[in-house]
Amino acid sequence: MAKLELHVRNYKLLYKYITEDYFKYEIDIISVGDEGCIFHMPSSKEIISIFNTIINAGLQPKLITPKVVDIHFEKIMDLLQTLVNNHLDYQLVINDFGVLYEAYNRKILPSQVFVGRSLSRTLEDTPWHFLLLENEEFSDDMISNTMADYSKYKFLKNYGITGIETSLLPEAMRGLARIQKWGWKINCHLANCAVAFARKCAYAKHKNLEIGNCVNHCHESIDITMSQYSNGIDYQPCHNQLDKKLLDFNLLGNVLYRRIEMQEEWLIDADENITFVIHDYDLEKSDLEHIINTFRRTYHEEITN
Amino acid sequence: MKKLLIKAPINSIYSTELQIESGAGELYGGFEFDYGHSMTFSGRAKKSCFDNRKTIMPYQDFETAVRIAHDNGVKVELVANLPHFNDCNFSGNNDGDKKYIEYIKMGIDAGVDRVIVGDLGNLIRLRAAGINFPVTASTFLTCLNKKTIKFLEEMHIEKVVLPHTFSLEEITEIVTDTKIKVEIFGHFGCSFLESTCGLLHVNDERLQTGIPCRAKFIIQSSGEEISILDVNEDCSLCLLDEVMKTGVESIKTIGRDLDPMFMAAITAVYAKTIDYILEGKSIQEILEIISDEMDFGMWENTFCKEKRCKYMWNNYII
Repeated sequence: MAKLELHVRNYKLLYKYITEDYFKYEIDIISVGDEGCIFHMPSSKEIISIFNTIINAGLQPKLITPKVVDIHFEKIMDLLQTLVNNHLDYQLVINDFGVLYEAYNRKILPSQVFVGRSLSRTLEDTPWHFLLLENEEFSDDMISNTMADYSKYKFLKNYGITGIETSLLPEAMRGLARIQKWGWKINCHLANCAVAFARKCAYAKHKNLEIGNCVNHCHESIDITMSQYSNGIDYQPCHNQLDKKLLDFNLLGNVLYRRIEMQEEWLIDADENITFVIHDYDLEKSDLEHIINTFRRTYHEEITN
Repeated sequence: MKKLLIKAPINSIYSTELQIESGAGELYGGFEFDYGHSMTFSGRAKKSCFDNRKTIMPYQDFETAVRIAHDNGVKVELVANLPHFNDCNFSGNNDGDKKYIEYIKMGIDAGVDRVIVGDLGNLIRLRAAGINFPVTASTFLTCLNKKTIKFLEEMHIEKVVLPHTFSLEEITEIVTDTKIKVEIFGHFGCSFLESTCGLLHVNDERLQTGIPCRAKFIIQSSGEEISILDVNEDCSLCLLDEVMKTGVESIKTIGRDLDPMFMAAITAVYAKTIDYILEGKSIQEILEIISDEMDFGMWENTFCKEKRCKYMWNNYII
């Protein structure tokens, strides 16, 4: 049976989520941290209490780490070292090869380590991917996840990688099946595709936030629609014949996302090596409720019956 | 202070000659190869979406371009840095991974000095094929910290291209920490880290997306129409003396898909500035000289007035 993970980007709300009846019987894993921004990471002082809260609720804790520059590098190392020192069983997501390299060398990786969505990419992350690939003979291969590559698998396995994170996108599924055959676990983010990651934060710029003190103002995404394209000098209307949905995005911090319609059949046949991931910043969205209900119907009612 | 090299894009013999004449110290380009309808191993599609200009050249022309470059003491890097790659073969007929190696071997036969690689699997494949040729780690490998560079150093790379957004202090620290050559972007930029960016463009797609991170977007909650994603930085001219002090080997300009005359003009401005800095002139003096020598109005309007300065403002950097 597949697992369901709730990513709590705002970890201050952790207790609230754990006690909410709505999630009580569905969630298996709670993740904290962020795939984009270091400032959403708990400190090494906070992490033990956070993880113990999750464990005491009967759930598996998971830490998501972003790409980092040198000035923040040791913060990630301190977190991992603290978790090792406290012998906590947890899952880790790494989005930075430097973090993987150093944590491996310091022997502070847990037993389950996943390559994050900023490293595990697919052309399907691009909304207009089908136009890029429409004349390509090997489009099924080209659109597959970049981690569906045996060289990378062999190499990264030696660094302790045991799975990948990915946005659950219909075209890239064949590559995921290949990864599963190798024995890697897959965490699929439902209804949410990570389109692009930045170091310079457009969200902070738009809201005129001071980096570092911006965390509490960064829990709600900005929904945007591309209206005029730029050739670098001037603008012209997006006179395309395509579905407007291709031009819809949501900006949250330094990551650009797009919402994807969730199809129920994606959940069916998923085995225990698949974890479906939902995010607290999407909690108000009706599609999230649909996901929870679908998951409940697919798995929990099945068990009851 | 050592001379800073400008690494400039080429897509033809003509652009090669123009860039060398304009003062490029290194060039980068690719050649036509039997892989994909519009995709290439070069990290770009075959044609620009703006005007159908080709981004790569026939192999014979590429050989000639390399020869011309070497005759002028200019090095050439082969672009083999497509970021989205795997060895999937669901049809049973796709030998893209083998073709990639073949493409690299042809580039080496043409005489290139380095190969630019942008995918970890391709770097592994290249070494596994016994190709111990100098490699430049593309910005697609996203070296944001010293440990990522160490990680790649163990795979014997010779040069690393840093992502766009860095402070000069960080660049200096990285250059000091590593024995390999470091390259940064000199002109033009991206809002997002390239390897992680799904706003793909310049791929002769039917949908005209332009440069999506510079587009105008309607904010749904307010109806406001602004370039919300545009945190690009474009020009490093006024800080070039400081850039040279960091010890980086080269600055890269982008634009394999752009007008070669336009790109050569950019190279010329940077090359003159570097020469004047080495002569001991101040940036202010240099800007006055350049303004007298050429029509600098477009540059000032596009980059200076809009404050699209690279490495100058560290606001909003995480």
